[in-house]
Amino acid sequence: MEVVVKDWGVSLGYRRGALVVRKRGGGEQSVPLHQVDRVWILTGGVSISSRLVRALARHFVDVVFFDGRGEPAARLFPPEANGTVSHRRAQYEAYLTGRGFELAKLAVYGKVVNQAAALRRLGAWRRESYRLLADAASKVAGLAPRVLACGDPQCVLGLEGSAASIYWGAVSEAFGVPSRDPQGGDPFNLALNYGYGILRYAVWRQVVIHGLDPYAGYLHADRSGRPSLVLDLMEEFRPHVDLMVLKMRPGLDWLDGGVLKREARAALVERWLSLRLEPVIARQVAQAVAHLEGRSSYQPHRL
Amino acid sequence: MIWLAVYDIQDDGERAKAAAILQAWGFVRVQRSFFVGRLPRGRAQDLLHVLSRHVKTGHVALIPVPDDSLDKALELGAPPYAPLKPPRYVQTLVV
Repeated sequence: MEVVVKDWGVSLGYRRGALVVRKRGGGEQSVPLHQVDRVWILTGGVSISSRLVRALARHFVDVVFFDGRGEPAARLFPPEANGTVSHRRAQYEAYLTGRGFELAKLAVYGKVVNQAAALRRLGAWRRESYRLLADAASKVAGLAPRVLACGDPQCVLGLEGSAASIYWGAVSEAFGVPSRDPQGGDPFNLALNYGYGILRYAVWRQVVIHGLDPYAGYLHADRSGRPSLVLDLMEEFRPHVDLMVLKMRPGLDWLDGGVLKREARAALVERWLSLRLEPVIARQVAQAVAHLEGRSSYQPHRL
Repeated sequence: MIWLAVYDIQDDGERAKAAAILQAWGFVRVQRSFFVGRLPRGRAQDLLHVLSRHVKTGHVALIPVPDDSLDKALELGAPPYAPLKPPRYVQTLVV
């Protein structure tokens, strides 16, 4: 069970092998700990007892805290969750042998192919803009093979940027949504940021579970605190989030003081969970490990 | 996997504790000393360990049954507390 805490004034405690949720103004709910898969905390004003944290860690249950913009602010997990050193060694070695760059290229290739597929799917949703979306899809799909021929990160990032501008141009024209701007304050961009934040957390979690170093990436430049590998590997899943957000039609009623309302955040998390993408992400990260170790070649995920 | 929990405990305090622990672990009471619940693989041993710390006299049994076997159960009368088939987990709980 995924426990999503969206209201403030909630306290989470532990009693006799169960997670006890108490709400301000009464109301208590108890959930057996073996049924809990994860605890999502999406707002401030929530307290969590240390006994519960200990019990959750013993059960390998993740506790994840998001801030108002959807940044995964913290994640609690037991110390032994990141023990596979051999994978980390392979990851660093792959930086020198070029297998790492190959992996990042394949992930971006996957993203561009998925963007084209997403545009075609959007064309089926909105028949009146079918022509526009289908044309953009062919243009984006035409860029995908060029990614694989790239010899350096600059070339890959350049092609990724051109694909993104065609993709977002067509999406905003067909659906009348604002153009993509990570700094934008409109509900559509805020919801996308939130969705990408959830995706980043999900990839991060799998990267750590598989024993990789989230900060040592191949395409995104190394910078202190930037989870480059996570950013590399999450690329191919972004179109899933785009479709999810477009389908939910974020409107002005989603906003509260410049950030998303708590209900909207919980709705995004719920929708994300209903997509059941996390097992797919786990499989892709396991494949990435196999690629870095030279055991097999990475197959990007198809939308 | 569905587990049946049955006990016969003379001590009132221990009996109440056993019932409280079983319910905290998601078991539902079917009869006074008969509970059913779902547990993931390997967790029944943990539950028995927790029970063993509080129940010093009497007998407790945890019996695994395949998921579909309760559908074939034969019953006489209505169960006094809850139906024989334990409820499914809720997938997402939003608070």
